[in-house]
Amino acid sequence: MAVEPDSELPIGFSYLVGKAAFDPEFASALAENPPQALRSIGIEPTEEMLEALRRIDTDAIMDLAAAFDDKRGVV
Amino acid sequence: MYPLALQAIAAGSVLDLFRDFEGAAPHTSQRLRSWLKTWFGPEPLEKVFTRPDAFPLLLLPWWLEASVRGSDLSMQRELTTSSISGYLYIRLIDNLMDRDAPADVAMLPALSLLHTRFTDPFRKWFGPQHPFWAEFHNIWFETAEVTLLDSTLDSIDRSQFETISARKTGAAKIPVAATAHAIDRSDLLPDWCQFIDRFGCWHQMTNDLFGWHKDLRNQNTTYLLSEGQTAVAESIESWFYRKGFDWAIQQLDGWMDELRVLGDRMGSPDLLSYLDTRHALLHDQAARVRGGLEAVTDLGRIVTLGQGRPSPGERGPIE
Repeated sequence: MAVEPDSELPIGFSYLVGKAAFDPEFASALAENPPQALRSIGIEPTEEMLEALRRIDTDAIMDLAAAFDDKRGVV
Repeated sequence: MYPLALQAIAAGSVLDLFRDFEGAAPHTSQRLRSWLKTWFGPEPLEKVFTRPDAFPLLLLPWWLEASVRGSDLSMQRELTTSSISGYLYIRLIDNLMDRDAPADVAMLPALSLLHTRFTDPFRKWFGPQHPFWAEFHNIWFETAEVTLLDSTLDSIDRSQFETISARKTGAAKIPVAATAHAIDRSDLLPDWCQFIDRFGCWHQMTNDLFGWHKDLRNQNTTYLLSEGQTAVAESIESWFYRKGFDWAIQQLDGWMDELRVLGDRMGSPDLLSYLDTRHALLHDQAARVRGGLEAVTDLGRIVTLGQGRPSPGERGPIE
């Protein structure tokens, strides 16, 4: 799914949460290789950022994508 | 949630339907099958109608009859075939109206087959002057009207949601009306129709909630997204993660309370049990989503603001 960055913020909240919650590949990369995942969206990670990211529940983020599916096929 | 007898009836109804279609209109039948597979996936069609999160289209006439007398399985089978066909009729039209649907206009002639099988039992059971037909016309016309109206709205408030968006599932009153008339208990209809209107709110909001991002992407108008658009100081995404999800759950809980009150006077223990199950399933799912919302909010803070992890439970605006 293509999520465009916000026009006012180069990497804004809307873009980031859309990417994390609705792009399973990005969510998976965030869990497995956070520096590479961040660089793929144009962010150069700092040590402080990576340390904070280690405390993020990436499984919960992936569950979010499953919950907010497109409801296709539901009667 | 679905009695085994009704599950078996649903499977038999799907067989009946496509045996009929394949015999009389094989090309149309093939196109219908192909569309259904694209839309619903590989799951057998009868399973789609008996999933826990499905609208209780097949259960409503079943519960009504069971609240009055023992189930007439032959009547329920005819009703189920009709309801599945009627649902597919509406779904095909919706797909043709939507931007991201797999149907194309070449499938329009298939509507004839679906509509005929939808009305078959009613034409068999009720003569032309029977009061059922007045109910049928009112319900069917209102469903068409609100579906068209809903597609034209640029913004939806609570009143419009309750009287327009949530009434798109109002056609579910037709098999209920048919059941009520078939068992000579049309006096029960007002309560059942009121219940279906209220359940329509619950069902539509559930769809809007769990399909919110698809709706946002496709620029679909929903009550939920309209509520988010009133938050002037932040994006809809930020509003949804900070407040909108919980707001939607509160609305759903309010409608569920009303549904239980209505259900209490309808004399169907199975209906009340169904409500309890749906409510519990929603809250299980909500708990999982909240964990994800907190994680995503943390992520947003870390990356966009470099603030590190917020205090547990904190979900402030992020812009």
